[in-house]
Amino acid sequence: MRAGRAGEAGLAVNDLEVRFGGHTAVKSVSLRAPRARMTGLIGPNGAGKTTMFNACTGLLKPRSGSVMLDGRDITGLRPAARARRGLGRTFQRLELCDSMSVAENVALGVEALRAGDNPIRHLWLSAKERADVQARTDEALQTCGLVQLREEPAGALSTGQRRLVELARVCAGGYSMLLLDEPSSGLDHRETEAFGRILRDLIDHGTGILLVEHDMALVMSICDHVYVLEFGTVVFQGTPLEVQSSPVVRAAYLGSEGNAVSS
Amino acid sequence: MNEYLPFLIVGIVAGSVYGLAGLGLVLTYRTSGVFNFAHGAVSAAAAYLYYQLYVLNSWPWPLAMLATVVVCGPALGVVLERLMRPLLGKHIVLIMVATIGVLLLIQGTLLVHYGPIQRAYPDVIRDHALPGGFTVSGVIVTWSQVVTVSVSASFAVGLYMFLKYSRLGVQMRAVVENPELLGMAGQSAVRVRSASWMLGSTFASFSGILLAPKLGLDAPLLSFLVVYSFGAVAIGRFSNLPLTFAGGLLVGVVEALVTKEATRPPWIGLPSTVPFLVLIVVLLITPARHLPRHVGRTTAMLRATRDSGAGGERRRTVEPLLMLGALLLVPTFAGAKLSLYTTGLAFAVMFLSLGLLFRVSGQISLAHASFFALGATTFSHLIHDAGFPWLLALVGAGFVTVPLGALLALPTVRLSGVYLALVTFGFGVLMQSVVFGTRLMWGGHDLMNGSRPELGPLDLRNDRVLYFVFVAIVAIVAATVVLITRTRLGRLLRGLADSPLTLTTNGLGVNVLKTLVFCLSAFLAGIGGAMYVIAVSSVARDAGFGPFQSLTWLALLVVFAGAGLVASALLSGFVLVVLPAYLPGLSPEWQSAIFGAGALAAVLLSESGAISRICLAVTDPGPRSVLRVRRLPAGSPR
Repeated sequence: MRAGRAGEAGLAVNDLEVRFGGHTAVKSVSLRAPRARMTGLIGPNGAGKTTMFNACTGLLKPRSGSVMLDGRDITGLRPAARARRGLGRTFQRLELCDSMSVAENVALGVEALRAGDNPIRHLWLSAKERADVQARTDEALQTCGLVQLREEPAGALSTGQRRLVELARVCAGGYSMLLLDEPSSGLDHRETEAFGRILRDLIDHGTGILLVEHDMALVMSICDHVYVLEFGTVVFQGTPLEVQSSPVVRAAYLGSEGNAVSS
Repeated sequence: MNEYLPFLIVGIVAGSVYGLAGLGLVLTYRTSGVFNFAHGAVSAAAAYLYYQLYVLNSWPWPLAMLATVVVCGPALGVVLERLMRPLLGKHIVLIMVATIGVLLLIQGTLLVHYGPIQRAYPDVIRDHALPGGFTVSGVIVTWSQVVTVSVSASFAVGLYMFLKYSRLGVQMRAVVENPELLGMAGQSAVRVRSASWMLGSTFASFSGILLAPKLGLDAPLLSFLVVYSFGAVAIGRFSNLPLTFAGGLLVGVVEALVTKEATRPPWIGLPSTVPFLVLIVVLLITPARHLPRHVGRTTAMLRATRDSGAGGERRRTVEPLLMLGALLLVPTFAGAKLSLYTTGLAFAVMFLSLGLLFRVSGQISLAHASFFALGATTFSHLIHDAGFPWLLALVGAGFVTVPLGALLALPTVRLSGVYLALVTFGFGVLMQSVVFGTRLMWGGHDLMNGSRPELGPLDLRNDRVLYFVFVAIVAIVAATVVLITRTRLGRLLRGLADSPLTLTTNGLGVNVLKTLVFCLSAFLAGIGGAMYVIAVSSVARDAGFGPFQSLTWLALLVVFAGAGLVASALLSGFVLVVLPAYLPGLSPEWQSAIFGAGALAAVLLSESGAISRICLAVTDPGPRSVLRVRRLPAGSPR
């Protein structure tokens, strides 16, 4: 089933370059993250992974290069417009509304997307639309195992639970392409496994995922294709097996980080 | 050229003092994240101390000056640093409120002790050291002016050398360039901050002594000094010290030249607004990446958790009924003070509007007093000039204020935190000194009058009737605001306060949302202003509806952050208007000092955790800080 959809475009980044002052954080990076595929993006700290995400979602303006979503150029769009085209993301430093309940946080994701550029229009929703928001929220809470916590204020949850809330929020949004920034950090073993299952499920439903992750076991077990970033450039790409056996990657990344992590 | 020369000289003298004050502001802002609104109050304190020692205690002037600048300045700096230390990295509004608390405390204390009368101030340099002056192309330059400029300039150069060559200076410079280094500097962090506060305070003290002979011994005026240096600070992009001093000179010169040209009525208020025009223009055209990032939090909410709607149903129904019951009982005990409660209700509407903007949506506005004043004058115009019916004029006052809200929402597109606060502050000053005088508002009148007609069976001339009508209006406004917070729109607004990034990356364009809430808030503030002019029957142009008033209002909301949205608005309104009437022995100066101390204490206590339970949302650094400690998944396979 997955193989059949793998041809769909998803996210394509061409020759992207991002500079901060004189420092080039991302240097002519090209990558493909097709729909219905799990694409990994790994690399040591400071390699430019989150910068890539910020450029893809429009929070940063690239100096050159383009970002395409499902074959359409979205380089010039604002972050909100990109989200409306189907590009969702989570944050390494979680972005939740701490004063709201879990269910409200998830519903907010759907409602923000609905409201789009015109929150005023959003004031009058038909009963059907309201029911739809509710249904999507409930479904996402169910998927992410948050039903029991739905009335808890998000600020009172553990980091792992908060990560799940953020994931539920993008699930409810029904994005065609998701960028997940270190979603498993702060999760315990059981939570990480559950997390992997949720991601797999999303892939099976045709969503494309680009995953930045430090948990190598998770990356190797769930990704279809992996890009390795170092000093803002792609130094290697291939299947998880190829990445694991690549001397380039070993030298650049696993050689230092990998040992440190597994010890 | 000759006709401009005197203005040029005055401009350079004033500009060098702005520059000096600006240096102190930048130092403390960059090393501790505190944009110190009390900077001018330190100047005032120093000016009074010098007056006390030299004039009243007859110390020799060099000794008095030494004691003021070299001893008192740094000492005040140390005290301020200690006071502000717990606020490091905290919400920008908490920091602003704390400094405004210090400002009111110092100013109130000075006024209590020395009385509100402005006194002539000795110009030491003119009287003793270097009397007289010389002429340049026929223009007299006093030695006092020369000394003012050269001392300011040498302070600036001295600071530059100190920062460039001394070890502590290099550390401070590193911190000014990059505040995150402060955290890594470990032990020396406190030392660096103390040193910059000491230097900043010393500069402020000296500016005070330099300025007082020109301004007179006037605490509010001297405290206002600091805001004139905002333009200089903006030119220095909040971090570049030499540029800040140069900016001060530039602002001073431009201001003086404008004074020369703007001598006719519509423009006569223009010169004093030059620093704020500079501030606004520079902030609006400087790319955000060239402004230093905030040390503290800016987007996080300032709201009690109970606003979130996660509370029990019972409280939702019981609380409003209790509040309404209490309001209805007021006439039974208020007696002659009932009209004050009526005025308090007008303010309650304004606080509801500010609450919607600030507590619910996390947006900062220091121009709220402008909305309020515009509402008041518009009501008066609509009733007396346009012949509107009473109720229509009341609502009309709200509508006329809406475009002002939309205008103020424009800078929120680009700016946030302290920069947004400063732009709205400058906007408030511009309104006060330019727009208040136009025909749109007070133009041609000293007073704008309210109106209390007979409305069918309701005779508004009766104090009780007016009170109950106002209770009804407050109830309607409160219900509307609460309803808004509970709808989908309210959820989006709360999202805007908590995490605008969430909204953006989930597809919502936040600019429309911000504009919407500013317009709504302006509408309600306009109605509050109209109610105010009805309650007090007439409002004078110089009633003080400027940005400092807005800051005080914000401080009240922070003090009552633990109460619910509506309760906090009512409490703030009554504390502002009614409470002073129950403390007849307390002069306004005392009240100001006590309120300042109270605001400071409220912020500091909430930070130290003493009342954190009540003000959970205000204080809780929350899971964000937990996040930085990344837990490794225990026992996960590698």
